[in-house]
Amino acid sequence: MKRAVLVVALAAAAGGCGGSSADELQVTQASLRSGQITLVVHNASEETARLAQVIVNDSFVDFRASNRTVPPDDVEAVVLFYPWVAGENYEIELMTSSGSTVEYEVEDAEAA
Amino acid sequence: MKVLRSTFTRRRALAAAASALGAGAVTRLASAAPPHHHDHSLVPGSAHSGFASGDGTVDPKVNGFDPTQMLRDFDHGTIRKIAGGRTLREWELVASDKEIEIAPGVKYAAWTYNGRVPGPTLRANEGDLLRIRFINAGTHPHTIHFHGIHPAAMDGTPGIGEDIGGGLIDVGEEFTYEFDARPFGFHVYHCHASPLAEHIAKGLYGAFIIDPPDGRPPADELLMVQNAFDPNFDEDNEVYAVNTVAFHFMYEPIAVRLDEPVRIYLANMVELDPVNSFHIPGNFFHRFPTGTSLEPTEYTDTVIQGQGQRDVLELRFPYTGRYMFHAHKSEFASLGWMGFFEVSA
Repeated sequence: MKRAVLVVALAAAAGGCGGSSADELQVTQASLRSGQITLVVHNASEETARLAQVIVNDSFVDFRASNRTVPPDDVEAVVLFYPWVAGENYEIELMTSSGSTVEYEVEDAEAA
Repeated sequence: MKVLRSTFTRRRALAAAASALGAGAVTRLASAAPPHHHDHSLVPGSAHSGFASGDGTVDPKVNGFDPTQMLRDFDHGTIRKIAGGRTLREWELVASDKEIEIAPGVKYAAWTYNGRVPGPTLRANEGDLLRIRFINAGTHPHTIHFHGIHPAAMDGTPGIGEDIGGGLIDVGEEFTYEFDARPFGFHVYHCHASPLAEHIAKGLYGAFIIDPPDGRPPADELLMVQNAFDPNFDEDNEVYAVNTVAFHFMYEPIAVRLDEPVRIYLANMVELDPVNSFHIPGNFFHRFPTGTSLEPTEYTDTVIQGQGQRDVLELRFPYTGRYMFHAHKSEFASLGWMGFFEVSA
């Protein structure tokens, strides 16, 4: 069985035209199950962040979050509905209302 | 188009992961049940159309312009007859900075002509005299560069025509471009200030139609300007569209009539990617490159366009129902450049 390697990748995102900057968001956990990728996002900034869209491998995807607005020092779980394939790599971008992105990379995907 | 910067990313990633995982934050997990139609916390694209297609569409009131209205919004200018029986058409275009919403929830600091992206669709007849008063109310020097045949001083190119007040138009300044409408065809206009890619990518462009002397056969005419945005400034586009708002026509299909002629004015104003494409599944169309001939050169279902390239496309829909249109570069389609026609009797 291949080993799943989950790597947090923070983008060197510049500040946007308003709202929060994505470089203060951090993905702290990730888990995969069939058809879903769940990320836990921590807002390390002093400003509220709003998650607007999610991109996986250059494609906007459906996602669910209990609350897309993440207050300072709070966390939010984001469930992406995506038909990932075991053993393949995925580049995920969490896009905030300012257009800034947090990048997160899943290598050698495996249910976990 | 995304370019993976794996080395840089991975180095950043490992350090960040160690820090983040040590934070010990309390996790609030969302339900991981499959999506269904009435869950408002879920992006509803798949429930709506079978595609993940953004979170609905953007309220036109937010932007002050509507991609659907832009389809058939042709600005013929203020018209009056002048000596020799010629027609003079006049417009006023104002460059300004404006925050727009390019996908649901995603704001972008655009540069606009008349507060919209793309700018007004200017339309004239071949041989008309055109006069466009340009006012720069933005925060950077701009120009308007028209495609067409005209004197050099009217070309909107920095450093040319400055002796008569043209060239680069500084903040707070204005200039009036004046030239004859020729040749007939489908053209564009855009800012020509440096850095050029930035001035175009931020939204300073629009369509410019010159009708042939005897016009074209009647049809339901639609303007489609392919565009894209780089909201995180990484020199890669993340959001693609026709008439600016990603996935807009997935949620507001373009209404057309069964067997009625449809004419599409298709332009590609995407920066940062070398080519774009347009495909209609389940149908074929006649292609008139740049619209400068009344004879089509191709009968096809897909066209490829480089930056600034234009085509006039003519077709009829012989069946009722819903038909997609989209970039045949699948990445662009999945990042917003897709929509529907709704064909009704």
